Amino acid sequence: MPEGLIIEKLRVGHRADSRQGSPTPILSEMDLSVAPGEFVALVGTSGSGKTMTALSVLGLLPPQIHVESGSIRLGGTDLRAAGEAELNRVRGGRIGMLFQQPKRMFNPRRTIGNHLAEPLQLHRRLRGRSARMQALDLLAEAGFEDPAWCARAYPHQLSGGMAQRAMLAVAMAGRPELLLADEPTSALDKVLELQILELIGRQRHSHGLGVLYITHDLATVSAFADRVVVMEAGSVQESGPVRTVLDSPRTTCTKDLLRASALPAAPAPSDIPSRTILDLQGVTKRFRSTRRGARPALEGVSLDFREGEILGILGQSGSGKSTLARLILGLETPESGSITRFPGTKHNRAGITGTEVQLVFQEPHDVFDPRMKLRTSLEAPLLQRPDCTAEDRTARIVEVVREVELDPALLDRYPSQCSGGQLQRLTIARALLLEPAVLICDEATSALDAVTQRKVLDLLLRLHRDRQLSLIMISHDMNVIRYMSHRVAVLFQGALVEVAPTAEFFARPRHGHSKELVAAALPVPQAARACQHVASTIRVPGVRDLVGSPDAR
Amino acid sequence: MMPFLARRAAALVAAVLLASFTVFLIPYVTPGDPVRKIIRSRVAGDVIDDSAVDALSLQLGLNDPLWTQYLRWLGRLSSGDMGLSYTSRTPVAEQVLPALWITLSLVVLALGAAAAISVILGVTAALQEGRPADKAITAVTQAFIALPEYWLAPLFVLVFALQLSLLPSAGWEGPHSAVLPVAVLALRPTSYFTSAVREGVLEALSAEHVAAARSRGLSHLQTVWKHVIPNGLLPLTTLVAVWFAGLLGGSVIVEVIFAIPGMGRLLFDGVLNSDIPLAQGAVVVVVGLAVLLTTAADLVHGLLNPQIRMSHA
Amino acid sequence: MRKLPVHVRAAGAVLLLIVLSVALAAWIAPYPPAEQNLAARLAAPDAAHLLGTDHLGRDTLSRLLDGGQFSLTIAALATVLTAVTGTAVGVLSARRRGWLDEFFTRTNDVLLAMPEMVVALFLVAALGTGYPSLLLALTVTGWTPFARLARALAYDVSARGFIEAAKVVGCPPSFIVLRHILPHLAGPLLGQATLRFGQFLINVGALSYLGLGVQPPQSDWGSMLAAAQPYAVRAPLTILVPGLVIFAVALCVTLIGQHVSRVTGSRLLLSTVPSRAVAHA
Repeated sequence: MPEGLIIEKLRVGHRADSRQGSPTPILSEMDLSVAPGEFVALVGTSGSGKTMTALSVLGLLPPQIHVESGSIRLGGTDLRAAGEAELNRVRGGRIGMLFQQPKRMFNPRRTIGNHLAEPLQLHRRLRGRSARMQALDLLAEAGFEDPAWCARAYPHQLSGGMAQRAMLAVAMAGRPELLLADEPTSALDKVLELQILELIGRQRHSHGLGVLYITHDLATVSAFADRVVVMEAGSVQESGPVRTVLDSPRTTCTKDLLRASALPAAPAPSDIPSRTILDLQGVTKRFRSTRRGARPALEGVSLDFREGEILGILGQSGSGKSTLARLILGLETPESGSITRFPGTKHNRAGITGTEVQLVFQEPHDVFDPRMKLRTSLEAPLLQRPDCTAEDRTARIVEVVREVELDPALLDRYPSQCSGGQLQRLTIARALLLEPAVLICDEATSALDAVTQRKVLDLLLRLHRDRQLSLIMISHDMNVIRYMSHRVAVLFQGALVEVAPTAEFFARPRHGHSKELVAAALPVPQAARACQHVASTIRVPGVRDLVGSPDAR
Repeated sequence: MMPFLARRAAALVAAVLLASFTVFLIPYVTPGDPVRKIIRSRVAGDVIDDSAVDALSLQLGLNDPLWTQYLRWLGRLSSGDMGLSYTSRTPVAEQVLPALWITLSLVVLALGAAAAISVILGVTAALQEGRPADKAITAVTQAFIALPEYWLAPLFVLVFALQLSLLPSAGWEGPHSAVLPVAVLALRPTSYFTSAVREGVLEALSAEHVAAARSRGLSHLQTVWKHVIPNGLLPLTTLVAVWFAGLLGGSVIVEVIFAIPGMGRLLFDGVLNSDIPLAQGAVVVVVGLAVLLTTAADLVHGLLNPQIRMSHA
Repeated sequence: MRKLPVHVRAAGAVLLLIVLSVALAAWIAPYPPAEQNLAARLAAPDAAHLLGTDHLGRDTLSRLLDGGQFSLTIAALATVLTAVTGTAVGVLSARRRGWLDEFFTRTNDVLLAMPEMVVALFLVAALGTGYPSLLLALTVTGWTPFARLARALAYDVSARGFIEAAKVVGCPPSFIVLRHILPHLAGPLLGQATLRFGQFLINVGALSYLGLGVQPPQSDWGSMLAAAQPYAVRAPLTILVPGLVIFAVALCVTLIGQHVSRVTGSRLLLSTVPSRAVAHA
């Protein structure tokens, strides 16, 4: 008897009559199977056709795309031949689905309980009290300590990690035999990612659930998967048991994917000068919460930053990292405490933006006005200097653009015509025009792919060397912090919980949160073990914490 | 939600105070002696000689500072005393009340018709996006925006009343007489509502949670019914309220053309005959009503939206 | 002018034709607009009077061309005035935030609740008829849609990364407003202005129709309609034509405005939804 999901020779393409249709298929010769209780990781870069595979299984391809040939069977049912009514029984009933952006996958005007009621009624004929009881059980299984609260909550009250767990509860409501998870953790940080994976693993063992887990992160998923299928450009490149693929990858795309998740540790600094150029004493900043949610606050942060240093500031989203950057830049004024920039010089007034500290942003595509040529955007800050003639400006712009290893011809383009990496270099170039002493990089490389990230980080290291530029690297990415910084400062819920030299920090983290972060950054199999206790002790914050909390946006 | 409510309430009070103060000032800023004008609106008989005017102005407190007079005027207004009309020499309140009923029924009928038609048209257009039905609905309703009521109304009268003798050309007696004015009044809101519903439903349709609902096993129709239409119709609630205010004003033209004795007609007569108390009364009532309704609708909009309802701001 | 849809081109052509002939009325009108010919009252169209005559035997076409000058000018003036005021207020509230923003937003909400026509009637009654009071009557509530749109857009643009980036590299506020924010507002505001022009045209006509706009002997399209009404049965053309012209102009600008709004990515309906609903939708 055929069991589980079996996809054979699947070919998916644009419909012939659709205008934007290209003759090249989206998926071709796609073979894939997931046995009951098996965990299969489907790995590939974006655009490789992973999501289309999932959508073809559910019969939910966009109207202009269709399955051309091949077969999709689930436990003996031919899904390609199934009618709409049959498919509706399969969706949610026999296949549960997790999505990348869980918060957007809930109807904002309905409670989580409403969402759970749908599959319970459709697939298990449960209504009223019995449905409510079942919903609470499902939420408890998904790690909610207070399921009743969650059932009453609206999607906007949930953090990203909570929303994904709620989505898992919804996906499991119809008692499916297969779970399709489409990048469910790409928008979450490492700790939450491991929690979700752990929860999925538990469901798999207790319900004999087959899991097809779509991801671009080969390393993390490998600790949980039985088999790995690597995709590129619409077809399977390599597949096999996890250990085999990981230990002896055969194709270049597998090797690339593996390499992307490893950055070496920073070389120990030769010597850090002791002159302090930024001095924060007991800086506190709170924000009035608005309808759009409050910005993360800071409480009593004291920190000194020395000339020529690379300081890594580590923190998860909502820890107040960006608030700290904005305070240092003078875009915000502290409520109490003091920020002294360049003690003993004329630039030391707090709350005033000066150009000695510059910033590189997270989202490169949003740094330049889309309606301006890049040359105009780069020229803008120089226009404020009366002594700078037009020729001077052009010369200096060309010079810095070369310094960040770009072709000055790029300057006559619009931002939309450049890649993220190019724009991030141009942001750095624009900052260099102002000859800053300090460059703050706020998640500067998180929006870039692994290869570009490495190149931009190396550029920053070179500028640090050549220009004696002091760097503050703000990131949630342990690898980036380890690769770049001399010292690490950890922000946790608005407070600075630990400052230590990098090597010492990674060897002996002192604060509980630091330990968790360091554990999550371990090579994955170890990390998974270290995080198992984390998943078993998932805490659900109370309502009071949530409504005002930064995650409850 | 509470601070939000408080801010709305503050705005409401401010609006009513501002409007009423402006209205209160009319006798003082229009040409002529304010004292005589006010006396004429307060005393039934004709008062001509100066000594009587002086006595009355003392008696009515017309020599007091302006703001005392305003507060007194406001007090009278809130107890329903709007003075005597210059032309009919009867209390304005007696004319306003029946007129208010007529205008309210006119506006409610027009808005109801507009909302009902636009929900059908808008949802159809959105679900048929890009197909002939959508294009036809969009083209026709767009043209409605450009139709002046004072042109359409005479044309309707010409065709349906005078040529075809199907409906009465004027007056406000029985349901027949309401058809033409309601149709004229409903036209422009229908146009805006339809396009709002269409946009709202299209936006709701493209939301990612709709795809997620399909993945839970809901059929296309169930998804549209449960997750698309309710979300897509939400903007309509606010729009209807805004148009309530708009139509209270828009009814002036319709009431004048169809000779309907409503608020608009009253206001128009007041302005045309320089009947200050009548105009004052009509403006205060219409504006007060409009502000009240807009705020009420805002409240409903807030209650329907969990994010606004639950916000602490 | 890349690939304009047919209906937008047609609208543009009709609009251009009407505006040009109105502007050149003094040269192309076949008769002086006020010249009465009691012998040819309510005449049907013929070679001498292309669109017939009114109840005083005046040539309808000539009066139409002459009356259009008033209608179009005042609608255009009102559009420019309200667009400039509204944009300034909107951008200012979005930039300053705080109590100023709160004040303007509430004012906006309040004015939105005021029936436009009632306010106009009231002002004309208080200040008398004439150009300035008519213009004031149209602008006093008319600036609010622009302010709401400009505020909502300026809020959105201000939240974009490139504004903060410009601040960090030391661009002064004037540069940020003039070079970054206003260009992003221009398209949607232009679309809005076009649409509002049509509505102003209709509203001017309405006031004139009620006898509160233009005063005799000057005439405009609305007052022509009013004057023709008693003779509607005998000469339907006298009420059909002026209304048709208003409808045609309003429809053309609406079509163009809708198109501009669509390609610049803003929605027509922004104009009729209260500020809060727009900003936080």
